[in-house]
This record gives sequence, structure tokens and C-alpha cells, in this order.
Amino acid sequence: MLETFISSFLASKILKSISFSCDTGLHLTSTVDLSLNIRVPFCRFQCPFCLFINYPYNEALSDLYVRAVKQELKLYSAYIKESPIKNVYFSGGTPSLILNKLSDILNCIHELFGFRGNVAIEVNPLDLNNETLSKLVNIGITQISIGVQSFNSDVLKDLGRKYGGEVALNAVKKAMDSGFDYVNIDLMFPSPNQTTNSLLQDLEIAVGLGVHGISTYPLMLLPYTEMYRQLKDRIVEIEGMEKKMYMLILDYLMNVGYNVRSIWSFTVKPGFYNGPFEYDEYLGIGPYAWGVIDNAFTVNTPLFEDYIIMVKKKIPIVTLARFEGERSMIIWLSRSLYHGKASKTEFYKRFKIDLDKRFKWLIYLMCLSGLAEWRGDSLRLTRKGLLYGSLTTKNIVIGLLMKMHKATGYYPPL
Amino acid sequence: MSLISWIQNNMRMDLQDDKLTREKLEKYLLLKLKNIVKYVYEKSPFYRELYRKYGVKPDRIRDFKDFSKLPFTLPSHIADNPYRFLCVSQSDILRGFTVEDVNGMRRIFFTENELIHIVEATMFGLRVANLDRGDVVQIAVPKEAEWGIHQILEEAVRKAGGKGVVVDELEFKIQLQSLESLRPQILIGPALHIFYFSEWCEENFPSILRRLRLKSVIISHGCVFYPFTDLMREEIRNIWECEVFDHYGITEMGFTVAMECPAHEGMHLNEVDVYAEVIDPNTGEILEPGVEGELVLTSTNREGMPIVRYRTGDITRLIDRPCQCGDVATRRIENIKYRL
Ligand code: SF4
Ligand SMILES: [Zn+2]
Repeated sequence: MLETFISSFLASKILKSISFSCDTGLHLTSTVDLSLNIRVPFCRFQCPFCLFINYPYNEALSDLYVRAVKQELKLYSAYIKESPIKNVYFSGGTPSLILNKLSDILNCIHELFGFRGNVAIEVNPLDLNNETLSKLVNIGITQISIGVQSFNSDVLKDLGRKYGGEVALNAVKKAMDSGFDYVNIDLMFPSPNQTTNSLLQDLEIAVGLGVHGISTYPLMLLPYTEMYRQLKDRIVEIEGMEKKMYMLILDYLMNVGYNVRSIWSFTVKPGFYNGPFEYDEYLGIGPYAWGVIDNAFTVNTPLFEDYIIMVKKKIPIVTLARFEGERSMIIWLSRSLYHGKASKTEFYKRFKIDLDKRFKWLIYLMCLSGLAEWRGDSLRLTRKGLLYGSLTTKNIVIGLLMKMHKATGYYPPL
Repeated sequence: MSLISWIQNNMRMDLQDDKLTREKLEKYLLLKLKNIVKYVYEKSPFYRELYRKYGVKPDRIRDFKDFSKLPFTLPSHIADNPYRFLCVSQSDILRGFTVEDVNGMRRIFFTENELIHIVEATMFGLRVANLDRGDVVQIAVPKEAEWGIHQILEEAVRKAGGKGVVVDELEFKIQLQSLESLRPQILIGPALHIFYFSEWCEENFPSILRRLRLKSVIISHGCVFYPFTDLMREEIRNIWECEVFDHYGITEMGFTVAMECPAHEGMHLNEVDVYAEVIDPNTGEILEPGVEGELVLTSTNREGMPIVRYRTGDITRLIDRPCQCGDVATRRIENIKYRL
């Protein structure tokens, strides 16, 4: 009971701390390492569970997209000369659809920022073959995250994915042999007819293939998605499965030697790779890309058409939420706990106040209910804490998306 | 040019002497609403059953408030069985159109009279968007079977004394070639096509663009399914250095629902053919003008397949303040934000 209370208290506190405003004037003074999250909004099909509006790929659109991304990068380059770009992440949509145009974007980043860091990309298993893999390696991509979702053909069918387990398996195998620094895969749970057994098999296959990272995302049903319409009478049942499956994932992966990268991601190479939203500070590039910079959460215009017009004149952020004072502390705490732990020293460095003093009661209750414990300098989520963290994070993500959609205006209300 | 003359024609008012006011138009609208409810109750099996179920007495409708208590028609009702909406025999139907979306597949039927009327309404709409006698219009709309949108537009332009040319091939190169050879004053096409075509021209052939001198760009299957944003409109306007006119029409209502005027502050409703309400999509309550909600439309002028209080799923606002263009009688809607 206490844990449920704490989780929902934390979720509502965090969501309250994020309020969007149309005053989008940014003061880009950040001098920390920056990353770029470049969102590529094209997909072959709209998956029935997808939370975002994507566009069917075509050559002409993708040319306009690349032109616009370069324009946006140029706009930023005037501000952030001081902060070196450390990572570039191409996130989806389906960036692998514009494979031939990625080097164009990377060259531009190199020219503008002298960039020489990690480049990561999300890919669809359908796009992975010998030819595309060597292209990816040749243009300097070092980390790859494959949107497998499952290796089980029935589960994939339920999720509306247009490939079978065999294709997914081969894609990952080939990627493992292609010399990337880091291969991550995404799995989704629970899908409508998935059993704990088939989930376990998915995990065994992934571990057997030796992938460096496994991200397991709970199914988030938002009311405007097709899957919500199909499943709305079964939501309680599906959420019941979610808890069981999360524990299964956690226990299995810990047992075979994976570490917590975040509540939803596990790794055998800690510190090597971050998911697109896991960096400390990053710029969101592309339509409906979001970023975290200078204590603000920024959101670009969601519409592709508006995006390519806006970047001709200005940075296309249409709404942002600032975290100042109080707010920035709670946001910092939640982002740290999302990665499993919060360090006292770092908190002090940032806010000049002790973590355990500032959040005395919250931390006391978290420890009392067994959600967290102190280990040396760090407050760490326990096994139970990770489970409640997953449930809470899901609610926060859904709440945040609703706020974002509302603030940008063009999505159906939720 | 405004829609006033179109409405006056249909109301059979004297064009010269009698000024059309909102008051007069409302009287007319109310009469049409009363008639259509009676008509569908008598002729359409769907409405007879629906109104019996809800205890609706068509001759007890006295004002707009009474009308707003009638049950809604949903897209799924039409998808289930469009024939039950018919008020004429099937042999009187000349053309059916198919609409397909998340609410299922719907067939919408029109009689010959109705199609002729649609051409007429379209002609008036195009004149609002600067179409003059002698103008050439490039119609960038896919060709369909006889009496398709392309033909309705072509015919409407001809009736207005202009020349409409359907350039059915939407490939940008072909569209541009044809602009160069036809030298039209007006370009009509779907929002996204026009937008991307404009971007493409600007990027690749800026010099040709300036020579073309369009008077108007008209958005054909306007904003439905897609927000046609102010930014997009502004961009198209700047690229062609011409006026941009949005339009709203859905097949269920016979296409010609609302047309933007030269004041560019919303789209004037074609209140000869439709009556518009905006409701709270959750409660079904009528909302005041200026409040965002779901557009509900009634076809007031159809004989074949009239639809009463149809939930379009389209989110917009009613504007009831008088328009700068001089048309003070018709109400307007804002462009559609999204479809539910
Ligand atoms: S491929 Fe990914 S981004 Fe594209 S629709 Fe499916 S889930 Fe959404
Ligand atoms: Zn007007």
C-alpha cells in the first residue's frame, strides 16, 4: 500500500513540475557535453500501438527532411559553439529508411561542430541485411538498437509488425557479426496474447546471441491508438500481466549478468551506450523531437509540414517546460532513479544542498517500504523499487505525452 | 464576391433591393430544418426508426433548440446500411461515392438534381475565391469515374465562364510543365499536394515561379484528415505571391460545406445546403460560437440521402461575428484542427 502511495505521489509531483509554456526563448548557456537526438519521422506503416504520428516514407519527403534537419542544426550551431557534441542518436520513426541520406546529415554535424563521437541508430529488423549493415558501419555508426519487439511470430503479429521471428533473429545475428561497439535490442511486454513463457524465450534468445543491451518497454496504451481501441476492455488484465513479466525480466537478466542501465534497459557493457532519452542534456532535432537542455524540456513542432517551414527562420521549438529551483531537484531525482540510483555527491554538486535533507521524508518512506536503500553514497532502487519504478515511469510517460500533445495542439485530446 | 448571391438565388430573394441579414437567413434555415426532419421521417427507413425510438415528433420542432435535441447520426450508422438513408428509390440515384476511414466504409448517394446543384454551389464557391469569366484553372485532382470531383470542378469553372483543365498526373514535373503551358490564373488541389509542390518549385525553379503569376490557390479536399495550418498557408502564399483559399467539404454533406472568403478569417458556411452546430464531443451539448468542439452538420437541401445531425469528428469553432468581406449573414467556421 505504502509503495503504491509513494509511487503515485512521486508521479503526480513530477508531472506537476512539468508545465509547458509557449514562451520558447531558450538561453543556451550550457557548456556540458551535449548529445543530439535526431528524430526521423518516417515509417513503413503505423504500428497499432505507436504513440507518435509518423509519415509514410517517400523520396521527396525525405529530401525535404534532410534539408530541414541541416537547417535546424545550423541554427543551433550559432549558440552552442562552446559545448562539444559527444553523441548523435538517430531515433524513430524508422531512421533506417533514410540510410542513404544519413551521411549527409553526419557530414553536416561534423562541419558545424567538429563532431567525432559515438553515433547510434534505431533500426527496424526489416532493414537489416549484409548490404545495409556494411553501409551503417561505413558511414561511422558505432551503436545500433534494433526494434525487435519479440522473436515470436505470433506476438509480432499481434503487435502489427510486418516480419516474423526468423527475420528478427537473423537481423540481430548479422548485426552482432558486423563489428558495432554496442548492439541493443528493444522488446515489448506484455502484448495481447503473450505468455510469460514466450517472453522468457525472447530473453533467452537475446542473451544467447550475446547482445550488449536489452531494452524492455511496457506496452503503453494511449487512447488515440488503434491498439487501445482493440484492447480497451482488457486493460486491467494486461496490466496484471505487466507486473509479473517485469519481475521475470529483471530476475532473469540480473541472474545472467546484465546490469541496470535504466528501469527499462539492461546492459553487459555499462557506461558504453545510452538510449535516445537517457543522456543528461541533448538537443531534439526533427519534427516532434524533444530535448533536455539548460533545465528545460523542449518539444519541436509535431507536424512535418510546419517543421520544414519553421526551420527556415528559427529553432522549431513550439513549447517547453522549465525546471527551476524546487522543480529541477525533483526532476533530477526522478531522472537519476530512472537509471536505478541517485548519488548524494552529485546532488550536492548541483544544488548545494544534501539529498537526504532535501527529500528527507520521501527517502525515509522509500526506504521504509523497501523501494530503495542507501549503498554508500547512493540511494538505490531495490528489486521492488525497480518494479514500482517501472509502473510509475509508465504513468509519468503517459502523463507527459498527454501534456506534450496538448501543449502542441494538433493531436486528438486524450 | 461572396456567398450572399448564392444564398439569395436559392432563397429566391430579390437580388437588388433586399439585403440579406442573419435574421432572415435564420428564418429560412429554420424552415429548411423543419422540412428536412419531416421529409426524412417520412421517406427514410433509418430516420423513421431512429426518431420513433427517441419519440421525436417532427412537427413539434419550433426552434433551433428543439432541433438540437434530435439524436445524432454517426458515421457507423451509414457504414452499417447506407440504403436505409435513401429517401428516393434506388433508380433515382445517379452516382454513389465511397468514403473509407476508421469508422468503416460508407457509400453516399446522389440524384442527378443534387449533382447539378453541387456544380452550381461549387461555381459560387470558386467565384468567392477570385474566379472570373475567362480565367484558366489548373485542377490538380485525380480523375475518377463520371461525376467525380474533377468533373464537378471542371464543370463549375465552365459555368462561371472560365476554362478548367484537369491535370490528373500529380507528379511535380508534370504539374509545373502544365502550369507553364496553360498559364492559369488559379490552381486547385489537395492541401498536401499543393504544399509539397510549392516547396519543390521554390527549391528547384524559383525563377519560373515568379513568371507564373497565379491569382489564387484553392485547397480542394481541404483540411479533412489533415490540419492545414496557418504556417502552411502563409508559406504557399509567399511562394506564389497569391491568395490562398481553404475549403471544407465532406462527401456526406455533398462536398460544398464551407469556403474561405477574401477576408481570410475563416470559411463561410454554405447555409443553403448545410446547417452547422458545434458540440462538446464528450457530452453532446451544444457549444457557444468561439468554443472549440466537434462539427455537427445537417444537409438541409438534399432529396436523395439527407443526413441530419451528422457527427463529422472534425474539430473547429463557429465564428458568428460579421465578416470583413461584407457578408454579414452567413456564419463561418475556423479551419479544421484535427479529426477525432
Ligand atoms: S516503427 Fe516504431 S515509430 Fe514507426 S509506427 Fe511502428 S512503433 Fe511507431
Ligand atoms: Zn468573409
